[in-house]
Amino acid sequence: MNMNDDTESLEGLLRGLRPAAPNPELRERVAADLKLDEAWLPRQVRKAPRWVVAAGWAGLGAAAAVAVMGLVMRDFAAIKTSSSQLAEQRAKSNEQSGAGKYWSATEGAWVEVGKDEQGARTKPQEAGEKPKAVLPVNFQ
Amino acid sequence: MTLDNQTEIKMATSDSNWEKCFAELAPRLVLYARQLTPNATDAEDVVQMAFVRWWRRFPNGDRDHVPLLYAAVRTIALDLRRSSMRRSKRENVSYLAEEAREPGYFELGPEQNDLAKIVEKSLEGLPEEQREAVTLHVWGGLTFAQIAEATGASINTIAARYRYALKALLRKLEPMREELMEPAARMTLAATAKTNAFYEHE
Repeated sequence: MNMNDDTESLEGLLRGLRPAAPNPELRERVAADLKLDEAWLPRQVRKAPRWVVAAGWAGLGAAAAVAVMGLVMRDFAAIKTSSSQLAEQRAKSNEQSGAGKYWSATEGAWVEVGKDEQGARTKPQEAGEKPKAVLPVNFQ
Repeated sequence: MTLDNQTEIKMATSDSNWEKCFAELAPRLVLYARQLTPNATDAEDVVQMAFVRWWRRFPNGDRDHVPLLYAAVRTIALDLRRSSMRRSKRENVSYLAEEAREPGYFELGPEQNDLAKIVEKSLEGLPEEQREAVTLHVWGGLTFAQIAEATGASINTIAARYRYALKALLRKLEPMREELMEPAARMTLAATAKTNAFYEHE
């Protein structure tokens, strides 16, 4: 019997031996792991047709655009109203011809100004003194 | 994790297939894992992890991908061995008591009892690389090319390891040669022929 024959017969002997079956518990563990995987599978979930999904997204976008436009238009209207009201108030206050209490920068105090006194006023000038502008500051 | 429809279908149809596949492969996988791990418990842990990973990846249990399963067993076993070596160093764990209770590598038939024990002892005496080559080729049914791919070595290296392993086994079995070639061994050879015919038919 030569070496090759020996090797072949040895291979035959070895192949004749069957690997021992593993512990039955191992099969249970593998089953548990694979079952856990199945829990993640969304098998029963019905998928909507592609066009429904696309239409849904388009509708959502349109709704968002309408909402934004609505908000913008409302703010614009409010700005318009408030600016016209302000103009009216200014007109009214002009009619009242500026009577009231003003801060005098030159005198450093509040000054009562009557109806007739309008525009820039100066303090009565003393000799050699430069005329100073008194700017009315309205804190209304 | 998202699975495409094809994978879902495959998984749905292969719920029971995994058991068939596992029953067929598990003994060989555990035998291989035991060549790389210190005990049978670790080997089974390794096989569990490797098989679950492999089945997730290939839910139809395609036989073409079986070498990848052995490669996964190898990778996980080596990782586990590294971590258990660290642990044993840290905790000074002794495996001697566990080794005494270790189950055998092979099924013990009435005639094959002695042969199985002798082969097991002889295998344990081989270097790990040679043991690996023999286990994967003889019981795993992998070609040298597939073993080379799974282990990252060249085909020539694997073939050489296998040759050296068989020579070493022959030397170790030489004293029992007459005994082995007695009726028990002849029956084993007959069983081998049957097994080979079965796999060829498969």
